[in-house]
Amino acid sequence: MKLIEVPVDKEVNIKGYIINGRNENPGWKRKLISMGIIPGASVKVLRKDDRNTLLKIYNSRISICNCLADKVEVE
Amino acid sequence: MKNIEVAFVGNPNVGKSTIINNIAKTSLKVGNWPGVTVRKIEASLVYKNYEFHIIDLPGTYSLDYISEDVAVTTDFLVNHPPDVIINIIEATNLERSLILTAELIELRLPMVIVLNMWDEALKLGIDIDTKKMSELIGVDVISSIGTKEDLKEKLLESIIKTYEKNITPKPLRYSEITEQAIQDILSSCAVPVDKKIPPRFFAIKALERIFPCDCCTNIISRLEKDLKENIYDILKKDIYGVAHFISSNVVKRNFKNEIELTEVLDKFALHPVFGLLIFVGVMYLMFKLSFDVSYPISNWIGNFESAFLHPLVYKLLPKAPYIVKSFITGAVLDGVGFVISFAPLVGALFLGLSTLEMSGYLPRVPIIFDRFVSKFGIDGRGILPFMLGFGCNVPAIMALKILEDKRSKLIVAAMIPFTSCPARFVVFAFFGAIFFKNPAPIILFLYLLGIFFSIITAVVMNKLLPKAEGLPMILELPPYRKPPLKIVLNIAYVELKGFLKRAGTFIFASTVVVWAFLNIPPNTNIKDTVAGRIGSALVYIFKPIGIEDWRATTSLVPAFLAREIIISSMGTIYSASTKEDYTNFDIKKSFKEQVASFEEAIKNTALSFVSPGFSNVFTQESNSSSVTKEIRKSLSPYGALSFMVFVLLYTSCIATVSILKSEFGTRFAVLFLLYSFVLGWIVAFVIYRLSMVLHVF
Ligand SMILES: Nc1nc2c(ncn2[C@@H]2O[C@H](COP(=O)(O)OP(=O)(O)O)[C@@H](O)[C@H]2O)c(=O)[nH]1
Ligand SMILES: [Mg+2]
Repeated sequence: MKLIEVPVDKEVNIKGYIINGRNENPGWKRKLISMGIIPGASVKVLRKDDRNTLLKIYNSRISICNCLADKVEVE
Repeated sequence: MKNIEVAFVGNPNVGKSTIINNIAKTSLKVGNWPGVTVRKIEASLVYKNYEFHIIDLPGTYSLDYISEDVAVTTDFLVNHPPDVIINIIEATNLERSLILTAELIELRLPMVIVLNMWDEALKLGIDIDTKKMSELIGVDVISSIGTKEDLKEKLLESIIKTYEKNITPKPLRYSEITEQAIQDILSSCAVPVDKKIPPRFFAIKALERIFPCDCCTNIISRLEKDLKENIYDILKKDIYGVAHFISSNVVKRNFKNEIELTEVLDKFALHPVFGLLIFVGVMYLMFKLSFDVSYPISNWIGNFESAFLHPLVYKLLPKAPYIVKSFITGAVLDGVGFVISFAPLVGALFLGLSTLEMSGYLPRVPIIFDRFVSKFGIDGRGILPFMLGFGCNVPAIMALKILEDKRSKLIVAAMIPFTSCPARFVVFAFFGAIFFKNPAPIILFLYLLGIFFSIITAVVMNKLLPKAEGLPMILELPPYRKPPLKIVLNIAYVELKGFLKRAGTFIFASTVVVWAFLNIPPNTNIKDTVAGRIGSALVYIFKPIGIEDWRATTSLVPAFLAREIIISSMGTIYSASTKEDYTNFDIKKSFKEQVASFEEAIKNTALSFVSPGFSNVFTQESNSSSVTKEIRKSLSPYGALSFMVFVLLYTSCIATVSILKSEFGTRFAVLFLLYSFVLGWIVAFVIYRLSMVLHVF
């Protein structure tokens, strides 16, 4: 499932990123990883609107653009 | 005396500025990183036999080159290794923070770890074993409450110990695959000699493909072919492994899960409708407070300078040649007085901004606006520099560093010069009081007009610039916190000091230049001076928009330096054609009047706290002096409105133009200047004609 599809207030685990082609480290992936949005981490979606998804991960709140939430795989 | 250079590194919003303010107090300095306009905050302080040189590096999550501010931190640590790194960590968010720590460890520099927000961690039930953490990592680990306890001794003692004993972190070991890859790079590729960093750090960053290295790329490609996995992913997994290992070993109790105040507040603050209303309310309050509180005092300072100090000079130096008296009053006193009369407003604005920043509200603003501004090709973060433009266009353009792509930077840079900064407000208030019975709606109209043309410009830029793909918005939202008064005051004070120093020298120098323009050749009628000749020529250009008096156009010449100068130069130009008379000046009587009007100003400031609307500061402008009468005669109200519109839109501020030039190149700056001139003229023309036809006044 993609992060963007997770209902509000539900906790899920990050599985990985959806990237076309192998061996890519685009800027957004580097940024997500450095902010702790990493495989294995458990996240909770706090709120969502048509542009951004706000999630809680570790003890921080991070707002990510829906265009990126679409590229994060969760289980 | 030994010198120790200390660099503060950490994620954004972990309390770096708070701690530096805590230990360094007012010895802080604000500057710019050479070549990049990212704020550089430094402090020097002496303790025992050491002189500490402290540097606040821009907050970052990794040592990378994703954006300009992150690159500053990475470059600084790589090219200019400090004596000691202070890694500030949010105790409430240990595991995540340790990802950066793991990268810092590889720099092999002496390091101290500070676990800040200790009070919040305790509240959440998080208990960290600092002793064990210190044993694991091999460096001092200090708990801290940056906003409450006095950290000076605790922190500086630890820095001294770390420096003297050269205490560096224990080396990290990653998985076999990663270690092998690092070895391969170290044994077959040459580390560039100009780098002052450990070869292992270079190898790791080469694996991340951050440092370019052809030889490494070959090794990486071969490895990835064998492993069928991205080496970057393997390395990062190892790093989280380290972070997780340390964190799980030292955190004794884990958090209570409670619904926090922040989550409740965010339901409103980030709501598409309420969020916007709250934003408008907050901004209104901030600008109202800064304008209302500072205006009476600014106004008094200006008056004190022109109505008391000017005649005083003439009285005290009766025999001095006119040119000397004119230089002292027109260049020195006007210049200094000008800068000082600006201080209350700028100080109040910085106070408001740092309160908003410290409270955690500011980082949320981009989310509220993302939906609107994305229509112009910029993401929500662009709204922050734009908003700053209402404080001053120059730092606003400098703040564009927070945007990650050049395209958005260009668009917002072209929007900012149309926002009404206090300099424009000063001109509007001055003209408003002279020409109109009720100036407030006119001033509001001008503010909105500026915003309107910002948006038009953004739309045009968005159409013109080639489309490009930037890094979409990812933001961390800190919890709401009570802003610590002492530290907010200190930050505002330091910022104000920095502003006065930069703007002060600049405005002062420019008043001297303006004075010279108005006095060359000496002892002639103002109409025959350099400024007067340019101004007279300009009448041909400005006639169609209702500005026909050579004195009004002449005042636009010096105003290219900074808009506010219009007022002081109008004073000079109009009074030179009327001649001020100081013979009746009585020092004692006039001083008493000044004291009385100062009391009045303080009273008005106090009153402004309780009055709901913008207080009626405009009518306090002295309306009867001979100069204002002359000005009123020289323009019709329609011409005055057109003048204000032109001043609003034309980038009449050399500081803004020069910052545009240094950030985006000469071509952009010149094109923009032309654009704003033409736009200002056309809009003024339309409004002048339209308002006359409609008989609005
Ligand atoms: N409760 C608490 N708040 C703190 C502490 N240290 C800093 N803060 C607050 O955290 C916020 C961010 O601090 P700041 O110094 O701007 O962080 P920076 O971005 O790292 O420079 C401010 O509101 C501070 O008042 C602390 O030890 N405890
Ligand atoms: Mg800071």
